[in-house]
Amino acid sequence: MSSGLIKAMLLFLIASGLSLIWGMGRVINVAHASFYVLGAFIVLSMMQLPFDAAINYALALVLAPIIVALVAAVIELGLLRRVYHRGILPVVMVTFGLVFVFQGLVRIIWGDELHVVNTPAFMRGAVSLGVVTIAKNQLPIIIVAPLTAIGIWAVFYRTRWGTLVRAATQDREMLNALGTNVPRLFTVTFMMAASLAALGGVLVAPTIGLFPAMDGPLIVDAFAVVVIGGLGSILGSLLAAIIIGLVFAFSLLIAPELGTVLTFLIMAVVLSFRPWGLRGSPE
Amino acid sequence: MIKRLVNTKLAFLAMALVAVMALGACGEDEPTGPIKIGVGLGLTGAVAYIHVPWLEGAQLAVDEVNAAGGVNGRLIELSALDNKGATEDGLSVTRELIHDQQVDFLMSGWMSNICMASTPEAEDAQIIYMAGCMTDAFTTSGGHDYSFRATGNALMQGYVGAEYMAARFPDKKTFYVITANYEFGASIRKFFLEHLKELVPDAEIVGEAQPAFIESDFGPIISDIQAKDPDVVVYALAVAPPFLQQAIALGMFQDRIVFSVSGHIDQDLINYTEEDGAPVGMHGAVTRSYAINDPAAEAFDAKIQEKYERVAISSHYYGYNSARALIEGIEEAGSTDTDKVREALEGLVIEGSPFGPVTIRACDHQVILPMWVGEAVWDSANSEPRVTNLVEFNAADFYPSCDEVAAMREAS
Amino acid sequence: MLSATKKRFAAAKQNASWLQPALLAGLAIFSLIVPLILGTFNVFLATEILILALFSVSFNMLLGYTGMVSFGQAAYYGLGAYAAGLFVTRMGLPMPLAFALAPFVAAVGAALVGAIAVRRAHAYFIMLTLAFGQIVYAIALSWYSVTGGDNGLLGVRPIPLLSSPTNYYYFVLVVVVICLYAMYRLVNSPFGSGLKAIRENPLRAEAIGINVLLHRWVIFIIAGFFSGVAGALLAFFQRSIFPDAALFTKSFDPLVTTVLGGVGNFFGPVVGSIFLVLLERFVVRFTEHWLLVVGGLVIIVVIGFSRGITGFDISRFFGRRR
Repeated sequence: MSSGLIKAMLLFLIASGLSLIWGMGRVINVAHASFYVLGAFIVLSMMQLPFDAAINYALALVLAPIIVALVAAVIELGLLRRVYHRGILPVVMVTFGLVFVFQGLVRIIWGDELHVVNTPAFMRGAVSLGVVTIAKNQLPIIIVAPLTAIGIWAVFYRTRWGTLVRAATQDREMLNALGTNVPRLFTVTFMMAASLAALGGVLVAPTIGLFPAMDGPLIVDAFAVVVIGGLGSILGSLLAAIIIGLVFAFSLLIAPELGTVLTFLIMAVVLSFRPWGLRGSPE
Repeated sequence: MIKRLVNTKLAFLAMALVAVMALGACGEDEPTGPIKIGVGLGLTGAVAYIHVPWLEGAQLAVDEVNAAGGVNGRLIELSALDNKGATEDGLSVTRELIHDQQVDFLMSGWMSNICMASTPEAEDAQIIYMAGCMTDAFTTSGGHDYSFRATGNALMQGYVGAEYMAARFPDKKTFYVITANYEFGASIRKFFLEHLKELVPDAEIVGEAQPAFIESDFGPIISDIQAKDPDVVVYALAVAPPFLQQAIALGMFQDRIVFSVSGHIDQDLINYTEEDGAPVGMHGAVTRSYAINDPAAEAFDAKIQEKYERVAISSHYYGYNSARALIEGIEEAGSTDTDKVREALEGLVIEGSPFGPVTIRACDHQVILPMWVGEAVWDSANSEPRVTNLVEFNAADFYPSCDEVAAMREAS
Repeated sequence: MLSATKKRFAAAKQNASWLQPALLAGLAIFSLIVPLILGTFNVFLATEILILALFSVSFNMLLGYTGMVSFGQAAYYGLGAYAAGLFVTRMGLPMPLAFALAPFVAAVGAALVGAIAVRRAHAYFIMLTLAFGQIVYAIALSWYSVTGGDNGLLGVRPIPLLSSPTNYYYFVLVVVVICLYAMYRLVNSPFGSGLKAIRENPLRAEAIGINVLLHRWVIFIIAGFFSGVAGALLAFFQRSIFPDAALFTKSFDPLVTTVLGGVGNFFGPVVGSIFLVLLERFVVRFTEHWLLVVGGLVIIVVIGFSRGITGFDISRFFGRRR
């Protein structure tokens, strides 16, 4: 069960950002899970720093999202902006190309093997919470992800900036007409989305083996979460992520590939009857 | 129209590339030049850590022979191509070695899926294929005139694993079996379970898992193990370090025997550090004879240490043995003619083997090897894991007879 | 001086409407004699190129002619390949029958997915096709007892007559030419004109009486069918099939060849295929980072050639639709 929960939280971190940028700018970033991969590999490297392992990890938690946000800024400003005016397809193709560019860069920098993160001492072993035993290396994501979700919600519904972002997902032209610099807002949102995905990578890295192509399995699930949850909705992403996480946990008991089939079917059903998702708005 | 223009440019460029390829194809054979041995290995990717040493071992054998003047007066050229451990690439690398580089002999590494996909190509081209893959099928149901193996295989390992368990831990009855979901894993699972049932009829398999060949997340499996609480966890994975790391983190090792039935525990522990905690309860087979005074092994270890400045692991042994087998076969045949070398290899005793002299059986082209199984401990003096309390097994004691293998080939 | 020459050259090219047919004829003749003048390994390469060309042209039925982007065509390629393989190995069907039936399996898959997917707005169409591709891959990988999982299916042999590389090459050549001809006739038919109208402006097409959904569904099935043919050709070429045939990165291949070679031109994907396969051979000698090169190439092409490499502006498909 814990693995379903963890998957749900990871998907939430990745998909919520994806949902925002899709809802706001109609940008389908096929390479969004690559930010997650980058975050994970940055942790891998940071654990090699000469400080105490726990400090290394804390540093990674703070620095990796920032570094990845900067990378995202470069991509958005340098590449994506050139193709927005040409519609969805060129943007999608550029991001698809980026998937392979990222994989190649990760391969070059870190190598193609299955990497294992050097975990700090407090993350070794397991802790028993009554019925369920969880590994201590799962604690970061279990603790930090919900806090992040609350933080995102707070930013979204309690700050001016959050209000602007929500407005932009509804009607960006109007917002632009009212004087907000929507392109800049979008860039900032893009950076935030990337850092969320990277945070997911940092939190999950101690629990799995890392390899350059690890974004593949996740990106399809992330899209499913966005579709089911509704474009531009944080709560929708959360609900959908939990659903997909449950599907995953359930399918582990029977057959892993069942998860993929069920995800597809749920997506198909949602699109047939409620195409704007659980929490999106009909257009 | 720009459309036509740019298309045409691209078309001309494509034509030019085709012309270059065509020119590249015009090469002449050199009958008195070096003997070319081609080898396809996963030199990059998740399996690189066991294939790079494989190549090192093979290269050592080739360099030694060349330093002494080559074989039959000709030098040996080892041509290694990277197939990333992926099956599709494995096949195209094999085709490239056979048809483009036109090698005289073919070798390949650990990947069972690759050797099974490639062996028909070798058969069609009538070229000797000395593979290092682990699936028994390579020399049993899928074997042919030109397929040879100078390494161990899943059958040996599965049987030895069962023998060891029955002999050393007869009171441990509940087992959890993890085998990678591909050719090698399926083979080992079958043979281990078969033989275990024969030796320990009341052994109970309380749980099984077949993770993907390259699996990175073992959390669910480890949770299942802790829920089912077996005495022994038996595993055969292509890439074991992430599993071990996650298992250690989750305390899976406590009060349990963990047995690496895939026979190369020294490679599974390759990233092991003392901080991980002593590998208490870890057992496995090892090709490198740590604690026994075996002159052949010690001499080989020294050579690897000198040339590559690293400790010799199973892959070095297997790569070296494969190359030695070919070299000695060519030497005995006195030529590179495929049929003559084949005859020479059948029944050949490999004198220069790091295992001590071992024989390639004539009937199925499989080498019969000794194996050692023991317990892993942490050697603080050398800062590395070691395997002690070794029990020796010889494949000759339990490997199917020639008739049995012939029956397997008939059946397929 | 130089610019004058350039202008004259460009003008000559413009007027040289014979150029493209001449190139095609040259290519056709060359493809006939490949096994005679080049070695076995290059015959293998040429076979790969032909299979990729078929796959790519079928993809372009969707992209270039109807304006649909599917990121999951590898699903039908994989279905065709596995169907052919399973028919021969598990069901013992003779190769010709297996080969003939396999594309219909792919077509059925396309029909089912298409029924759900073509109704949707474009972004969702992409998601659904991608997701279905992943399903085929996941099943191929996990259903060990049937598909052999990561080992793949082995022993997928063609009939003895087609077992030699040269004979199989000619077989592939014949099949691919026939399929290309069929698709060529299709896009130049009234149905094809309907597709192009849909690509330009679906609303207007609907208004003048074209059943947009039906056209899209039918072309999706047809594209799936021909992808399945390519997959079946692959199965007997490799004598084995591995799950990678259905991996989403395989869906990328026809996209790359089509973008590079020319979306708006029927033979664009063919040229792109030649270019891509040979480029890979060339690049792989120097670096193992081939995918990085391809990804970078696509980005450069999409961004750098604002009118598209073919002069056919892809953005005309979608404008600023929300």
